[in-house]
Amino acid sequence: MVQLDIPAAFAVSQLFVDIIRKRIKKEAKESGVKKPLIYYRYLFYSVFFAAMVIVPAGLYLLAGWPGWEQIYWSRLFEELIHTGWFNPIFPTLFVVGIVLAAYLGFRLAYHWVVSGKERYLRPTYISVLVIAALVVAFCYPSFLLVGTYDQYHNLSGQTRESMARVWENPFGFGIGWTGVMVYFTICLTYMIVKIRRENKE
Amino acid sequence: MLLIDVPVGLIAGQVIADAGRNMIKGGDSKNYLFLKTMTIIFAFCFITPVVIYFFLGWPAWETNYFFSQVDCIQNNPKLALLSGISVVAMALIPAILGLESGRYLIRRGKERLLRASYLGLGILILIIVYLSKEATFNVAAKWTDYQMGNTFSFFENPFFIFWLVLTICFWGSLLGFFLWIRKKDKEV
Repeated sequence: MVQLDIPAAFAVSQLFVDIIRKRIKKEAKESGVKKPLIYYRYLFYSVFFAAMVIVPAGLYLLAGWPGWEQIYWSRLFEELIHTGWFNPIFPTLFVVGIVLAAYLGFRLAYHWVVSGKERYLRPTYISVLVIAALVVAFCYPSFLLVGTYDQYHNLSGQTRESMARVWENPFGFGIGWTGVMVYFTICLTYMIVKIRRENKE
Repeated sequence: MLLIDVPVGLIAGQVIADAGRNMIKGGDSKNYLFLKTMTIIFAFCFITPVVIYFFLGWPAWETNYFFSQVDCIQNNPKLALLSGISVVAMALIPAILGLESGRYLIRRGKERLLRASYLGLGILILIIVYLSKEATFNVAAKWTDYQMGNTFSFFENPFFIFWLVLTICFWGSLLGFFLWIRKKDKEV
């Protein structure tokens, strides 16, 4: 979901820094330079994860089920063809937003760790995720229904009752979403294990 | 467009490698990681947005009218998956390949060949545009529209203005990245 993907990119970057924070502190102190090797290594991990995991997952759901992917907040995401130059800007900003959120999440987390303010780190990314989850939860039952903006908002003679439930696998949505979640979980687990291992070295 | 997005990505990667030539020659892994991260950030902030913008708004034109399937991506899991992966791959893989090929040439002292390579890719883009001028300058959002002749001129506004803005933004940011990395590179 658009409402979750951008905060997720921010939070994952901060999580990576949180896992490796002791080593970052140590290496930053020892190197004496503003941006040591570890800064670039973890900036790379953060941006690469966002680019290779969150962006394709978000784009896949946005291309296939644009209404559901932004929980029916706007019709603009559904009407991209033959609507002029304006509407395609929004999915474009969504992708740029994911990468920038990952970048900013890392920069902020790194700054806090090297300046001794790492106590802010965990509450920040947990709060960001909780707020994003609450925003989605308040839009109940949008995330359980697959269809169009008009159907969800009972417009143009269409009704919410005609929408399919996510567990009914309408147009292969259930399988697609499960695939995205499996891909995300495997990649995130791999990165966490990899960073933990690097932390112990 | 599909045919020119790949050379554009290669050019971006090679230009970034050229800008950081001293960093690459020095062999410091920190500097290489810096260049690689900047390549990814550039690819996702300046190449992917252009591809996504045109792919979602004018999918048939963006794919050079090669595929009729682009007309029906919504509610089609296989096509949506293919689109999601392709759009990312079209920006990221060529940019990384461009950086790696640039690094390879710089490490072997063939910097002139590197510059000839990205200038050659620029000329290749112009040749591709010329050879596919029928598809390039006749715009239709859907494949079926193109087949039925329902197209509009590439130079018609607001399409042309937006294409121009995105193109200037792309090449301008590449120049900006080049100058910024060059400045850092001189300090190495």
